Amino acid sequence: MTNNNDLERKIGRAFKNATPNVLDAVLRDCENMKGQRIMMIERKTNWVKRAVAVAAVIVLVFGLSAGLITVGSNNSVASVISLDVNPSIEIKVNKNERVLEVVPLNDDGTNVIGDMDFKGSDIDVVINALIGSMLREGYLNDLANSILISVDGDDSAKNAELQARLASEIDNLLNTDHFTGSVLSQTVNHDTELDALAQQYGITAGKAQLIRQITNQNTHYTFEDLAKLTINELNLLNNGNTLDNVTSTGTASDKKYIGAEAAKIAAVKHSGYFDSIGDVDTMTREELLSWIDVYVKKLECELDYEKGNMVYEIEFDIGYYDYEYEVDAKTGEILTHSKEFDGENVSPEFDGIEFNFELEGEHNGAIDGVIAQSDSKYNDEYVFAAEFVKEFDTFIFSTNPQNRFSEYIKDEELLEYTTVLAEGFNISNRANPCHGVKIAYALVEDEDKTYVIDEEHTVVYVAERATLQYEGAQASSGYGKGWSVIVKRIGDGKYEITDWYMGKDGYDMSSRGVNAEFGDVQFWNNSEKYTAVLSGAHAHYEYITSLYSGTPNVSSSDESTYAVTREEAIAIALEHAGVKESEVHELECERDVEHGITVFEVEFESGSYDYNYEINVETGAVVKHSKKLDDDNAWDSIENALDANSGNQSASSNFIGNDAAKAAALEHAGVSAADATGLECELDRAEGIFEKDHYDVEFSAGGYDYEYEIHAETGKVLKSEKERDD
Amino acid sequence: MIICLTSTMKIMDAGSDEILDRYIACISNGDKQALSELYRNASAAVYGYALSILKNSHDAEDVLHDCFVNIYSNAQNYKSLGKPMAWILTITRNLCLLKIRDRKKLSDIPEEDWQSYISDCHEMSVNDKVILEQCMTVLNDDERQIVLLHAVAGFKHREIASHMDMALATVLSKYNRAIKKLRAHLEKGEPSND
Repeated sequence: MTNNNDLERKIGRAFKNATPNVLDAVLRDCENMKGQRIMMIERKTNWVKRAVAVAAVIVLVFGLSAGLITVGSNNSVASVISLDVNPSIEIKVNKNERVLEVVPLNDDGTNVIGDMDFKGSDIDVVINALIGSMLREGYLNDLANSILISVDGDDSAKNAELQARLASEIDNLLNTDHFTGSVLSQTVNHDTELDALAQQYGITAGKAQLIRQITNQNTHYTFEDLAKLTINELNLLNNGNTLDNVTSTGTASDKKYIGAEAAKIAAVKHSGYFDSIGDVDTMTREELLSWIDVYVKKLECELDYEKGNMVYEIEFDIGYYDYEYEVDAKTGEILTHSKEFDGENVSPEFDGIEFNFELEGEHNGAIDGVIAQSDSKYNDEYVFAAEFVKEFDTFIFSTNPQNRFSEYIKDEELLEYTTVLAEGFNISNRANPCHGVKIAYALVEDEDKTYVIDEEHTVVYVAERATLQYEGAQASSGYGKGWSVIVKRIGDGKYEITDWYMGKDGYDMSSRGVNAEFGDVQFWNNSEKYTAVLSGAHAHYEYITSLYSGTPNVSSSDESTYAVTREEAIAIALEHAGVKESEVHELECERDVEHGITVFEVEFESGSYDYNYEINVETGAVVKHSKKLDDDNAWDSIENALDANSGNQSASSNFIGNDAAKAAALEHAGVSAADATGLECELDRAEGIFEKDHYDVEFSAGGYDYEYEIHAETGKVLKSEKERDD
Repeated sequence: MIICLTSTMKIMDAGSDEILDRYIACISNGDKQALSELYRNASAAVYGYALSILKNSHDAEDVLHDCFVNIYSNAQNYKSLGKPMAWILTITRNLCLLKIRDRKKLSDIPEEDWQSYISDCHEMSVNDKVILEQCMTVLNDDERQIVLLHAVAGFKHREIASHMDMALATVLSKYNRAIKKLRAHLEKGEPSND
């Protein structure tokens, strides 16, 4: 059961076999209805009947030709009518439209005429017979349905009248219920070049005139190439363009070729775009076309003639890229292809977004592709639905950059949901809060750090992994890291950021431009590395573009050449922060390059705050500074304060105390206090609403290390670990 | 009889739609042979589709019968748009809706016992039975109808969208979901009753 086709076939067979046979009852009941029905008197003639009629005409021609009386004075040629399919035939008629001579211009023409003698027949009869013969001999068929009729003569009014009449007659002959022809007709205007071309290539003046027009319109075709083609091929190449004084009906058959649809499929398959959605090799043609319908934009497909081959020229856009393909019209082989970056394709509607999430916890599973498009709009935001493999739940993504990942919906309760948006990503709604869901961007596990889009654009892969964690209805973290940045080379050694997004490829727009707490973004320029900080809670990519544009300037690593020493940089930072060195811990100072400027990055903690400074190594200026409340520090302070206030007592009188906690852990482990070594116990206060006050108990016994968390009030074992002590 | 059986003509290389069109044309002239042929070609789709809507094999069988009688009496009104199956299945759906209306009048909405129905189908293979049962029990109404139209009636997704008056994306999404569900259940090999 590996592909859909297989399953579909089985379903088809199962229902077929389940179908009861009621045919006898149907026939009986239909019989009883007799007399109530009105019979259709006549059916439309189909082409078979026409063919029969044509055959009759041929017989007639033979019958007539024996006893024809030729009028001597009418022996001069008034008009020449040529028929081109691939067979080329010239019919010379006198002023009374009696045929004087029928001349084949190629072997196929000879075949069509066979041993029919048309001399003295009416032009209409002859045309009828010749078309009938072309159909019978298979020159006009489903695969090649085009015919060119050209009228040549001195009397232009007469020419036009003949052209119109014969074209309509042939059109009638060819267009039946089951066959559709395409008739091109024209009058010939001779000039020396035309006659020379017709002579040189052994074609009718009419065909030469048609080819000359096509080559004039499409200068990359040569007359020599096109002279080899049939009228159907020429008709296809012309692709419905208007040609001067050529009247055309119907459309040329392209059934000899794989068809525009197959060519499109071949090209889009080759682009690899669908590889990330599903297994293209097992998808049916209809499925592929449906996908193409949904995801591929500006798809154009034209039949063309290139270097002796009929080819489909295909152009389309997907995501940031413009694709161009040439597909062999007969074999479907990809002859040429190109892919070009085009930032302008970024559509505000985000159709065809691809997601790739892994979900853990309650909704274990992966979203392995795109299943929806932005076919609905909600509060001026486009809404996308994506589906889990498991449980078939739905996420809704919004184009609003601040609410990009806005809703999580279970069981398609699409209409009932209530919007609850915290800052950052929030995946809860009131009806369906989801607890403990972690979302990781699977794409970012890709090892490739960078890849080149084209000469100018490179994708730089920024961080290791994006993990968004949610607990309860609160977003505990809205920040992911794992960004790709498209860097455009704007000059020798100069780059600017033109776009960025989360994940590996540009279609993962679900997180694009949202909550860019980037941290350090590293760029590679040849072997050198430099770093830029991209930050901003609601950074949008235009904003980012303006943020960084410059030359990487990796200063010499010889710090002795700097105007400012490390010690001076630290002093500048401390003075700016208004703290004394004695009040500071975790002090670090590193040389770094930010926005092309070499700085000393000074980091330290003091009180409940984390400080971060960047000091220009040349000027001593404070390039950037930040002061953030550090949760850990804050808790430490509170805990310290509590400890200080309560002396040696436990933090709360409700707590069981260290000894009871140790005893609980030892009891659980089945280890006596005497056997336990390295026994430690520490009170750990809850740091978030999802933690409980507990004691951490650790000890070793019998070759194992034990770790316990014991509830501070109840003494219950919250967590236990036992590991072999290596 | 007017020439209808032209399937041997080389030039046509007719697709199945053309063949069905031709049958219907012949039926409009009272051709019972053509009606039998059409029945042979289309009865599974009609029955399956009816079953997918009605979820009751007796009603579906009634609709199957009525549908072909209807085709016979209405064939002369058929205008070929190259979509004979769409016409046939529209008749089927209308008959099903009538059936549902009748059921409501009688407040008689029979719940089919699939297990016993399927075990009564002696001529079916075990595999067929499993698949039929899964289609009837695992899928919801829309999913079942979409799968039926695609896998049994041979509709393209686009045609399903137009037949069921749904967005193409919705059809695609539902179809993919349905196939995944079916596959998941079939791979588990568990009969499902949900």
